[in-house]
Amino acid sequence: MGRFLYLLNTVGTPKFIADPPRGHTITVVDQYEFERSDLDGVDGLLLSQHLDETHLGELRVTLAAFLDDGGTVSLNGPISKPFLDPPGAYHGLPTQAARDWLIEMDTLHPITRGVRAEDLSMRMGVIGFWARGYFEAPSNAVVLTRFAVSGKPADWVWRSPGGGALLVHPGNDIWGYAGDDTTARPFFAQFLDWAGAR
Amino acid sequence: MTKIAAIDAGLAYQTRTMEEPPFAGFFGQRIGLRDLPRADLHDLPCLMIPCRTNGARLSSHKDQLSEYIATGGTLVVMGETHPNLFIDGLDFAPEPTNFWWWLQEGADLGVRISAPDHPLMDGMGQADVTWHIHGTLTFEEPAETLVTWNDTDGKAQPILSVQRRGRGCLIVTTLDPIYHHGSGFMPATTAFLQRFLPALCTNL
Repeated sequence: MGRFLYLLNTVGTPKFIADPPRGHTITVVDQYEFERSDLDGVDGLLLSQHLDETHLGELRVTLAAFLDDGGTVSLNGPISKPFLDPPGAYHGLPTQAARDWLIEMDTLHPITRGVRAEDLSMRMGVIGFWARGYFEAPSNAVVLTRFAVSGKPADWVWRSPGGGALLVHPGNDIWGYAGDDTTARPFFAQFLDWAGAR
Repeated sequence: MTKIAAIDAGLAYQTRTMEEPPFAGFFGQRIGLRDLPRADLHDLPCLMIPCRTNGARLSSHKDQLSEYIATGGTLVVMGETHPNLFIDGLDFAPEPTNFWWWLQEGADLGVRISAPDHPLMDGMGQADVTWHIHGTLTFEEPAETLVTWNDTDGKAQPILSVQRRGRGCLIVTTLDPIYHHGSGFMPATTAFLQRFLPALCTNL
């Protein structure tokens, strides 16, 4: 089982952070009270779309060092002020039609095993929750999902030179799907499995 | 035009809304959330707490914000901030969000503009205030309600209200347009800001 750290910057803790799947452990720390030692013995760091990016920018060296030490980071949301490298800048993908935000699966990966593209593209028939824009993937990244029309990468995994791993997800937090009654449900659990076993 | 000062919680969607076109020009001074204890608010005509700023962090600033309003400031509190945690005299009742309502037969979220002649509603149409419901407001003292939501019992509940307090004013809503606009989805939220921000700046 993996040990994870979640930085909290909302009034409540998301359901599947407070009650993680498959026996994984997630420690919740207030974002502004985070200390470098909170990462000791941690397999993965979960970074929500609702974090203070100015503060994360102040932690740039610490976050990079965590990757260099072999840690895994789950990076979520259409980031405005990058605090890790990669990814670079976020690019919004305006829709001419709803199909512009449809997702298709790319490389087979343990994180996406059994996950169907239509369940990422649509929730209760609504398109856009999963991703509405992208970060360019480095040439050595593994692309898990793409936008079907434009071919732009949506979710991708990058291995850092130091042996760490970064899962970039440009939309709403991946743990927000862990209660869905679709094949999107295991995405978060399978990320935790994968990061915990690395 | 008077500009809006805002708490800057460093959230991506806040940054994108306040720093990029078409709305950057409406915003002036930004006060980092961590700098609020040392901030002098007295000369600011208007202070906004943008969508999804962590209301739990603001609870220790209750007196500072209350004094700001009482001495003549206009405090604008946007949605998903849990205003009951940092503003006295109001309560917030969260509502589960139906995000697929518009795909249901006879779709009507039940949002209504209840004070169409109010200056803050200038040019605002019903579609511009209609996307998601996150909760409703109640007040201990009288407040003017500009937008309501018909709850499951059909009762019109405040979701955007204005309340005079001391020499100042509290404007509070449970709508979260800055989150959606800055996150790149829900065009109604951009339309809301296109009406609300100029009306706010014009009427300060």
